[in-house]
Amino acid sequence: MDEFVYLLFVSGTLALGLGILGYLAPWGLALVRLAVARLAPVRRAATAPAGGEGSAVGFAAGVPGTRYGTLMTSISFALFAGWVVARTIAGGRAPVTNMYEFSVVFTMGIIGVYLATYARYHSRALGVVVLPVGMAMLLYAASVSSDIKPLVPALQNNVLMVHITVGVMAYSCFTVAFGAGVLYLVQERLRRPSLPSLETLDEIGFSGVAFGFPFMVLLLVLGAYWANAAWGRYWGWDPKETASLVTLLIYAGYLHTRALRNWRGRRGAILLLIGFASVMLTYFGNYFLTGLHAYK
Amino acid sequence: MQVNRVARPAPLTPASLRGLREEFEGDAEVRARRRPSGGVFRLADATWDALTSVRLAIVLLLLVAAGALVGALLPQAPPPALESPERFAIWVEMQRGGFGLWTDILAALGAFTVFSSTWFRVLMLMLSANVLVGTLTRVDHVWRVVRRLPPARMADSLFDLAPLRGEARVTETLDEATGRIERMLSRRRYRWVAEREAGLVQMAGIKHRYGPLGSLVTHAGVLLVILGIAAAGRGFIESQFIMPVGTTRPIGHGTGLEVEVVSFESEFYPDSKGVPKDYRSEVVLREQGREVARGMVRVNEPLVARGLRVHQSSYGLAIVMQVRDAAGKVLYDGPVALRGNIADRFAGTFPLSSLGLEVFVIGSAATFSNGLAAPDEVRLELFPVGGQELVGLKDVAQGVPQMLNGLEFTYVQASKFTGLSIVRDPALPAVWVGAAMVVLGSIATLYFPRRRVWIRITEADRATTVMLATAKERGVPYEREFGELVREAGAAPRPDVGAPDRSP
Repeated sequence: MDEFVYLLFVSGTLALGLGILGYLAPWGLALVRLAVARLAPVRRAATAPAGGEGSAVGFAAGVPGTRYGTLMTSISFALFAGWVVARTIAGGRAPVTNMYEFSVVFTMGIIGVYLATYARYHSRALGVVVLPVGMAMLLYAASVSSDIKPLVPALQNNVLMVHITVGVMAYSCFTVAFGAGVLYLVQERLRRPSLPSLETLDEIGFSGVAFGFPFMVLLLVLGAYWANAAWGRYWGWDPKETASLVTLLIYAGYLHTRALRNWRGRRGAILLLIGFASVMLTYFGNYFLTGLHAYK
Repeated sequence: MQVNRVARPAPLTPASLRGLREEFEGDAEVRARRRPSGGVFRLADATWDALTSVRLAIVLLLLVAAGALVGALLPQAPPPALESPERFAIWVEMQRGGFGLWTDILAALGAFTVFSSTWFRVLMLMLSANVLVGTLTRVDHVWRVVRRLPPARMADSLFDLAPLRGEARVTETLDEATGRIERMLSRRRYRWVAEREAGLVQMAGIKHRYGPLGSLVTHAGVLLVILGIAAAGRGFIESQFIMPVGTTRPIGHGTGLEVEVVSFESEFYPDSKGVPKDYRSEVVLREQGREVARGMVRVNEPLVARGLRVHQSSYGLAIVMQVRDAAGKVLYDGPVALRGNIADRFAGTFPLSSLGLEVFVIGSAATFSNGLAAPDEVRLELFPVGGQELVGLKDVAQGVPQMLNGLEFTYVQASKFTGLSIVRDPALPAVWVGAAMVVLGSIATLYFPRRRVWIRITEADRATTVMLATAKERGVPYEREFGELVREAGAAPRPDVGAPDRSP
């Protein structure tokens, strides 16, 4: 079963990689075409692309890479879902007990939320920004121990599973919102018709935070409930607790900015980037924060 | 007021033109309209507005976040270091290796004591005040807003000026189009009101009418949590209540109770270097000698009795020591919990008060696997109470009495101690209720946002036109759904509105 788990992990990672490549392919093809046109100008001059050398023809609809990109990404999601099942069987418990397991589940969450966003907004460019984050999480997961270790008493708790699942949902939504924020800042500069409009990107960013925020609140509440059951105090300014509060406050600030006219758009997008940095700090906190969470 | 019905037409009056303003103005405008104006009132109003404003809330949220971030990244002085200025100075010295020249500046700014510092508490207080007053001043307006249904009749200018609007020509008759639009609204879970007259139908649809209440619930929940945290000070927490097995101690804090640890058991996973699987203590609570509660306390399963909770927090090795003086009188006889750490070895201490001495008992290396392993010998270090110079040093093996500084020390046997966390927090239920309110309120506001749409269907020259318009609801993007409404109504949306980007 352990080998099967490993196989699912590797194939899921490969599928995601192919998905990213699929999304990038049309752009790559356009670059190749551009290079060929430049390298062999005499023969190719008559057949130069109508839109000019800078044409964003690669992002047009119907280019094969797009469908393969989405297909491979969906396959990757299914493979990681299979990984969850297999790992649960192998470990005798839900796969949410160490950084390796968190990272794979987090990636699955990112892919899932991305696919849901894609179903609504059909933005391939979003995938180009968001999916590599998932890939980076998988590469990190591959670098840490995947041993199934026994659980210390503090982790033998049903709340743990709900706490982590809720956290993955929140962080996945915020990651997609981060992607929208990045694209917003890029699109503000480039103003390409092939990228989603600024309004749409603003909406995706907000929707990501709107959907993820209640999960983030629940993450903190469940963490507090669990800490209270384990140690008798629901809040102790432990660094990881505090870091997650910082994340919550940043996104609460973002939601409040929606009421202010001139904070929508650019400043909101920057807050989405800051918020994501806070998510990463909270997630990897046990590497440079100390405290009760250190054993994770 | 009934909905989903068609009203008899009413004459156009100034009141219906006002409908536009009332539907679209925010609470700030409402308050502004009601104020006395001029002179000092204007300054007071401006100040009040600033203090209750969303902008200030954002600033405070981000400042608190920044402060908390400092507190998370920098090491914070632990409670023992805060007991006196001298101890704090010693602790700060220990940080110099990491911060060098910055150490004193950071200490002075409170960077090592963020959460108990004045400036952080002031920020939290300001944030709480902003939430409290900001919410109270908006309750009135929000309540009135959610109770009111949007009027079907709106001024013509709405359909020219609204930020989101769409129009369509359809081939149906007025009645057919109206019926179809009504079904569309119902299907999309809008409640609608309509007014009909010859050749004209005016409708207003509203979805999730009570959505804005969620925001009030969320903020009330935040206040309840803050109150609960503040009121926790009325209780107490003893988070490091160290008790060697077989001992009894009064809990104090006016409880009138004693706690005894009858036994301690631990289980370890086989072959895994001492990773604990379970550890639990049998604990008895007594009042004036009479037993009032007894139970097995394990991690995540506290003993709850008399408004107290007793948690299993930690455990470790205890060394039973006996000390006799030259005359054979017993000066100390009992377990010493090796609850601390000296040079990465488990260590504990006990006093010989009559002699003004403090004895340090140092065991084996502090690792998981050595957690409860009885060492063959322990090192004893003698210091004068509060002093720094070592006055005696000896390694003693188990069971072999040794002389040190004229006293006889015996390492009798190894035992265990259990670390309990004893808590009384009368405000805890308020915190959970408040937390639930924050979760539910944010779900209501964010997942079920209020949406309004006005629709006007006209028939002229045998062509039926459907016009749709709406405001941008505060903060919540409506473009995509509005675009779908327009499309379904049979129209192509205006190019700048609503079309989801179809870029692949």
